[in-house]
Amino acid sequence: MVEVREVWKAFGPRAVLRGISFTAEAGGAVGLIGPNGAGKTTLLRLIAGVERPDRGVVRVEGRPVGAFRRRELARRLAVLSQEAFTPFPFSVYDTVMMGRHPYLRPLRGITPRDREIVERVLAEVGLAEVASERVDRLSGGQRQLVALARTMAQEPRVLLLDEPTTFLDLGHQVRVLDLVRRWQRERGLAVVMVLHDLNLAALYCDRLVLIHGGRVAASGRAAEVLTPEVLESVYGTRPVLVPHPVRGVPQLFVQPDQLPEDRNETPRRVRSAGRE
Amino acid sequence: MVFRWWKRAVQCWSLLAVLFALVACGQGGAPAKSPADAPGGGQSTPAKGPVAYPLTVRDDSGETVTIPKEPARIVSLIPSHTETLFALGLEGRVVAVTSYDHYPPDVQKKVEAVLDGLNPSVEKLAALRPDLVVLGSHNRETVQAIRRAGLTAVMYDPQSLDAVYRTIEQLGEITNRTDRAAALVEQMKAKARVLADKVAAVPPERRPRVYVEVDPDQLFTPGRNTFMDELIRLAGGVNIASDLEGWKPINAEKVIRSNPQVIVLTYGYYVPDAEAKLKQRRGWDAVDAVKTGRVYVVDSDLVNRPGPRVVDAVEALAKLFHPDLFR
Amino acid sequence: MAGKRAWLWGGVLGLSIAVSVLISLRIGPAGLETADVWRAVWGRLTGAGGVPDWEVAVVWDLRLPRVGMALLVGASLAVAGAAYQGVLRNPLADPFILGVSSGAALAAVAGMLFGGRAGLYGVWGIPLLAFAGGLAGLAAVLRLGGMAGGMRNETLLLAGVVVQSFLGAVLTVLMLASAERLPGVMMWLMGSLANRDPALAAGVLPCFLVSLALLVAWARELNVMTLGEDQAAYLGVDVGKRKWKILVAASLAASASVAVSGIIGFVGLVVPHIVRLLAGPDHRILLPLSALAGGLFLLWADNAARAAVPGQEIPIGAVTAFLGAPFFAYLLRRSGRTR
Repeated sequence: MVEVREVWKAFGPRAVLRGISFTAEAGGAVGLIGPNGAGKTTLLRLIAGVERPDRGVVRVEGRPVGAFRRRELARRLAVLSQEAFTPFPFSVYDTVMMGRHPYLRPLRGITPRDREIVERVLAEVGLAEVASERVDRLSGGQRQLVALARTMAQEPRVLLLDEPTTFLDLGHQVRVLDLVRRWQRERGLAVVMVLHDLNLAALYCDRLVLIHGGRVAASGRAAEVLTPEVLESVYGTRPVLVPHPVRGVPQLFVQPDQLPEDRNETPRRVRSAGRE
Repeated sequence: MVFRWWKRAVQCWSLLAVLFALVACGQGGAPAKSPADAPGGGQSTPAKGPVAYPLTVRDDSGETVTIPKEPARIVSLIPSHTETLFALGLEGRVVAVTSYDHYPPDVQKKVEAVLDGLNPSVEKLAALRPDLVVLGSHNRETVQAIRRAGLTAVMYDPQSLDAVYRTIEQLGEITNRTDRAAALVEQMKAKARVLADKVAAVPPERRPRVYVEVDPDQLFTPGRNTFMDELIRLAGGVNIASDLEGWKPINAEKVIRSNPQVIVLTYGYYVPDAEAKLKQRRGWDAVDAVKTGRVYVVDSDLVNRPGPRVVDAVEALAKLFHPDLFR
Repeated sequence: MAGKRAWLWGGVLGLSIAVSVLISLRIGPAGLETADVWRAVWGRLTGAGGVPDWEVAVVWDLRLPRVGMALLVGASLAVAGAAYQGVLRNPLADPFILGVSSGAALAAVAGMLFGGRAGLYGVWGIPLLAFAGGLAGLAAVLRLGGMAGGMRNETLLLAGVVVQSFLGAVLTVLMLASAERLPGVMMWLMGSLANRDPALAAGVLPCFLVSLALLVAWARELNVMTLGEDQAAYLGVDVGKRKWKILVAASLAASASVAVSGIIGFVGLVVPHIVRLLAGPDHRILLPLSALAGGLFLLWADNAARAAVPGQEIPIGAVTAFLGAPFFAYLLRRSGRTR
């Protein structure tokens, strides 16, 4: 569904991406992880077609992204990022309706089908009650749900998420990601998400691509990518990994530096996260 | 919702009301420019014969100025006084005039320097080493700046025909030309008397309503207590703006309502086809002056300069107002 | 539901304008009574005799064109302001802040001073010249403010102040160069509708209509663009091109109106805000309602300008600034708090 092949990108003299390749299949979620400045967001923007790769190609449904007209692309691919809000007092309903923009024809207004989709999406994310509220009066978590609803109103086949949970409280983090995963499964969505939180990445992504210095440092299932060795080589700190008590995927704990006064605490022996 | 809108509207307008009040106050408190009264502190009849220097005079700035000796290097910063000085035979002593000076013809070529009359550079002025600077309708700051530079400066801003006579006599005394000044004034008065006799014969109902416009964008016009207002009266016209005080922009509505029979424009020297443009203004075709084609461009140098040619200005206007009198 | 509210407010504004026009025809130093105004209106319509010429002239040739120009200029500025705010996602944007007004005024003045020789007079010459100047002013401000998306308020304001000061200085020097026109400087810097040739409006009206039509046609894109440039692109808007088209279309209306009225600030700032509060931020509604509300606002600002001080006019820009500057301060304070 999404194919990234040997993509290079530089801003001036600074090479951000140096030959990245991966694919995201329909119904699956790929997590892009890596340290700050690794080029994850740039990569996402290349897939979304708002940046052009210097070399290599990004294909959506087998066609290079650059070959789509924006409207065509927007009917296939949606992006959820942080801070995608207007400074103006649009209502929740109107904001979600903006997701129908790629389908609207000039002169022909909103159709009953558009309304139907928007109302359904609002119900699914649980915002039907506040549909006529002003977006700027909602909480940060609810606003992110509005943004998610908008991307869903686009009826995309590919969904890109750029750190969708940053600044959200725990409940909303889980809500947003659960909704994404439900849609991904039910509608065969190909999901590519940039996540800062490696634990959430392990839980919600079928495959992880660890990017470091503009290259793919590791990729595969969570258990293959999230190992103390790989993480130390990329992040410069050696975390402790344990399997999630319910889902079994690796979850990570950072380990603070041992200071002399910490000596009297008996360090607990922890099993390194094993293969499932 | 509607209620909220009204509330907002009310707030807006109360703000505006404050504005009204403010501006209205400012207007009421504005000091009207007082017409310059007798210059020279009553020395209207200077002594005949050679002037004894140092000479002390009181000028229109209200200050007492002492002229140490007969001025030999004079700078005139106002064209009307230039005309007076030249009429007093001081050509050769006038070393600088302004860029607005056009009379006598070629006057700018007869002097050492041509200065910016409105905002003169005091440095440039001082460099000319004048022993007398003659000022006119300049503001207080300019007058003081020149005096602070150690220059002897007199300021006369006549606002009536009588004041023009007195100013000429005063300038004559200062420059030791009393006799020529007296002769000049006598000549002017004689001409004015002839004109006045002619005009006096015109009954009030035959005196035309006159509108004078000196700026086409703002419709600046002379109101009461202006020199121009007096010229209109002396020429046998009735100024439609005499309810205004001093020089003011007038509203086009008022002009049209007043229905002037003669319109006089003074800006023909920088606006080409000034009469035609005025006649094309929307709504002005309701005005008698436009209907009868009595819109005239006059030489602004003549009518705006309270100098020796001022009686000629009255005559020129009188000819426009009462052409039959001069046939 | 939003549609119904739009029609409601459209009706309210339309009615207010109709009433305001009638009241405005009554305001003026010539002191016509209501009956006189009616008689004059009727007189020209029917050619009926017995009405004094001057009354007909005052009502039809002075007051009516002036009312029309106030409506037109106000509508142009407000529509432009709404579009700028939307496309730049900046609630503080308006033709004045963005340097469009100053640029247009400078170009228009230059055209009038030197145009005689270049043969640029005429209905179209000055508005189009102003358009070019307005675009130049806008380009300078946006360039200086760094076009990078979602320009911060402070940067935009600073860039605007710098460009405006510079253009204002050039304008002043230009006008002082011909000293007879000294009073005109004031008119251009503070705006005025006094003694303007109504023929100029003939060139401005098409500019306004074209601009409004284009912007309304792009209103949906404008809505989406308020989400930010990237998000708008993700929603299928060709942001790069569309953004410039919107800026140019808005500048057309704003600049052309400056050619008639000089620089009038704050109309484009205040009006869209109030309309948004009343009828919501949807540009399909916001733009036409802003046109109506802007016209209404400027009509009353002009009434205040000519009636506030008996026998004299105050520049209309002073009136709008008097109302708009406190409003601006309020917006600035509020935007500072939410940041």
